[in-house]
Amino acid sequence: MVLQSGEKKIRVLISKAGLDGHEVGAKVVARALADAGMEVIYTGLRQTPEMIVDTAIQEDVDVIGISILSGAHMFFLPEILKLLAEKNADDIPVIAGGVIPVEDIGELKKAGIKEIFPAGSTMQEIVSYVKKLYQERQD
Amino acid sequence: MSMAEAVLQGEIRAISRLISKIENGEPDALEQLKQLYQHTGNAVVIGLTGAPGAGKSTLTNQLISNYLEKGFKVAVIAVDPSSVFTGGGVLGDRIRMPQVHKNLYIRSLATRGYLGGLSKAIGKTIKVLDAAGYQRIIIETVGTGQSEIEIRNFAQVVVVVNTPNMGDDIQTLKAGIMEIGDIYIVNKADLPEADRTVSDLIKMSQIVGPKHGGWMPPVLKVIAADGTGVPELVAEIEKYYLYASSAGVLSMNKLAMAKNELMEELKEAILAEALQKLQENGKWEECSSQVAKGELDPWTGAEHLLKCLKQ
Ligand SMILES: Nc1nc2c(ncn2[C@@H]2O[C@H](COP(=O)(O)OP(=O)(O)OP(=O)(O)O)[C@@H](O)[C@H]2O)c(=O)[nH]1
Ligand SMILES: [Mg+2]
Repeated sequence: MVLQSGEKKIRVLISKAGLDGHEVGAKVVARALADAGMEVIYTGLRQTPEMIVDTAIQEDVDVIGISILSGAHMFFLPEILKLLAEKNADDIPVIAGGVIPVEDIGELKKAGIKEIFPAGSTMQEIVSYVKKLYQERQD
Repeated sequence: MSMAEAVLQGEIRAISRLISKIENGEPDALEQLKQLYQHTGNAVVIGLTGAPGAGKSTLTNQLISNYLEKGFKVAVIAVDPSSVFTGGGVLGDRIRMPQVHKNLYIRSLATRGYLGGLSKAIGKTIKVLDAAGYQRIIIETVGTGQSEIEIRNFAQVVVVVNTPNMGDDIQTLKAGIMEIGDIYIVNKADLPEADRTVSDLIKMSQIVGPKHGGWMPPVLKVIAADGTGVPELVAEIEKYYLYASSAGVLSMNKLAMAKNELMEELKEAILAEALQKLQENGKWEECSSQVAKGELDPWTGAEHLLKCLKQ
């Protein structure tokens, strides 16, 4: 219809978990997703799992993207999944990127993280994966 | 349980989902809103407007803390622009509001091409949050375009956020700015020239004179970065709200808001119906291409279409 300015947009949360102060990577990803037409809720640094899960639910996002460089991914990511489940929101897919050693990827995926994008992943890969996740949720 | 019932119980996921449905223009949203409407009218809606970077989000964060401490349920609607080119956007106001509290709900809305500089969903989103029991609803506008004026249609209290060093520009500030606010603040009062900006604003508000016959908009110095002046600001917000209630300003505004709301809905419904009809009978395309070819001027074209509708 001509009038509907209302049109479904993909909403993504991009958050930085952990105590390190580097957010360039997360910002680049946020920008790339926005350039692909998505609405990106960007929360900046030092988010706790509670903050991330609360924000995801309040913002009704379709995908949660976590950037971690601090090495604490084996704590943060499972904690986020646990809180999502507690709040009946584990239907929201979680992806992660940053500095995550290859040997941890298997375990994180088994825990429920949909995909890991280690340093060196291209923006295109991330954008199309987010679109795919969104599509899967619609079906 | 229906979505509306869940919203009334304060269920966050239901609230969030319903706001998305509203944003996406899903027809089901209206059915839920109809059920919620009778439960609205209890929230105080506070609009914050001011140029990009003036400190609106930082200030919102301070207002959140202050109201939470007082025991209120607080909701924030932070509006950010969508890109005209991609339709996407980075909504970053939450960076300055890193708070988790059971009585706090924050939602970022993109303008999605809405010309008013707010979000088309704003009015209905306020209704949802009001029905869900949020007692103070803070709206952060994008601070550009029409949003400064448009916020008047939704907020009962409008706070205009200024910063020092607007220097001589303040004299040439957009005409009408002094008519928009109920309260003016000079944020970043830790920077030089704050006092001068305050006295400039006071001078200007004196020229405009009291609003509604009895309210002289106060000009306050605030440092949102550390909370200085925030208790005074909250006190003025509450004071204005009481004034506006007792002076009949709010009920006057209510009628204006009701007209505005009905007008928007009606415009949309009538136009949708009209376009559907004209598209079905082919007149829309026929007339458009005639105008495009220069065979018909758009004014005669529109008159012609209107006649077709009346048949
Ligand atoms: N010196 C000083 N800086 C401040 C103060 N309040 C906010 N800032 C800074 O001003 C910048 C913008 O603050 P925001 O709160 O994001 O401003 P905003 O009006 O929400 O910005 P937009 O949403 O982008 O329009 C940030 O770098 C803040 O740290 C203050 O009281 N003093
Ligand atoms: Mg802001």
